[in-house]
Amino acid sequence: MTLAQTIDRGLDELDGLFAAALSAAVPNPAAFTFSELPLGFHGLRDLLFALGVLNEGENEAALIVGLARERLRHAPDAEVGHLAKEAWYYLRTSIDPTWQLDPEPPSIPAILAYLATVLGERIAALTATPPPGFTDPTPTAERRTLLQRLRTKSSS
Amino acid sequence: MASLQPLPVAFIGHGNPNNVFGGNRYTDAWAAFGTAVRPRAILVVSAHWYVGATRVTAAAHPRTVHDFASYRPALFAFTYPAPGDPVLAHRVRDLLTPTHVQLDERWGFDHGAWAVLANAYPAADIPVVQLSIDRTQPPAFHYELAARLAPLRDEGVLILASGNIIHNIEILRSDWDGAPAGWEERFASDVDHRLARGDHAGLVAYDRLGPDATLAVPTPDHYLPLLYALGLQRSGERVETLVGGADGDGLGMLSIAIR
Repeated sequence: MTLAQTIDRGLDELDGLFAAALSAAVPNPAAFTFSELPLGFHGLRDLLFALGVLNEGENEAALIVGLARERLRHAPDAEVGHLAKEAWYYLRTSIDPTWQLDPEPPSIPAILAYLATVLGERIAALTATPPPGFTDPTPTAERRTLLQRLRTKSSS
Repeated sequence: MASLQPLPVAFIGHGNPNNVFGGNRYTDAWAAFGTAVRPRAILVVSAHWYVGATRVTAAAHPRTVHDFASYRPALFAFTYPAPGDPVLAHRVRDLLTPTHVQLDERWGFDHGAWAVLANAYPAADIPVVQLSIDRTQPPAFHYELAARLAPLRDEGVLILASGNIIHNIEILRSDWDGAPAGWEERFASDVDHRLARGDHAGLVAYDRLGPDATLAVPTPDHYLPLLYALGLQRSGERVETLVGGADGDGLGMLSIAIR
């Protein structure tokens, strides 16, 4: 399998995991059906980063591997070693900020496998303990009074 | 528009956004440079426009981009109201052909640009255009791309690259003491010597310069602007240090002019 094929397969798997993780991470995934989520996010991955399901280094590593895929799609023999190195740095320092020196070469397949593994673990954890949704602490009677008062005010 | 003397090329180590307010030896050096060099327009290559494509700002009135978090409110209120220069943006696109260059009206001036320009050109009366750094490309690409911008130096355009030769945020943020002693000074000195003897090949292949370079340049974004300045150096031109040194804590703000 070529590096491009490995990246394609790995990123496709991650896309599925991003969707699963997002459904597990938000308290009301059905909202996605009714909203385009006008948050200015670039995709599922960035939204997961905003929710804290992916950390900065993991998000950046996935982004960079995506850039490598684009480059290889455009030119199958393109040099992507610099991208692998940058993605590896972000991922390893997201694990340990002092992991600054690493004499072994970076590995894009290992990055993809790592991200798939940790996402799988987080999806399982989120599914087992769903994050709480917001519950309005104000009693129904007060809410009714508020709306009625605002109606009176706006019609006067 | 031809000028008698080609304008210099500058690489500025911009540090953090607070430098916009001046008051240190770095900002003093930028101000002195701006007083001495008065271009008709400025093309900035900033570490903070590091995206998956080559883009150039083409808006007539670019916005001030506050591309950071956790700084004091005064920074978020700061604006650098210099005009853009759509004609120069088109000229840049033409010079860089066949590389595909996108004309961009959404990005503006990021802090890699305005923290420096506010000190060097505080009146904000000189048109400014920014060129992005295509992060998908290897270092040699940027060095070679810059060379195609050379005619601008004869057209009254100052090319100002903004980054940091040492930029390790993780070390900056942490108290980690596992790095080899003196690594910043050694790397800064190595860069100085290579600049002085014109060792562009060595500086382009920075990732082969050993552990000190690995610590100084963990990711390419802040180093690559230096390669834009080097790509524009002409035969016989010298590198002049505007302000040098490595201040420690994972940051090195060498600034140079090539003329």
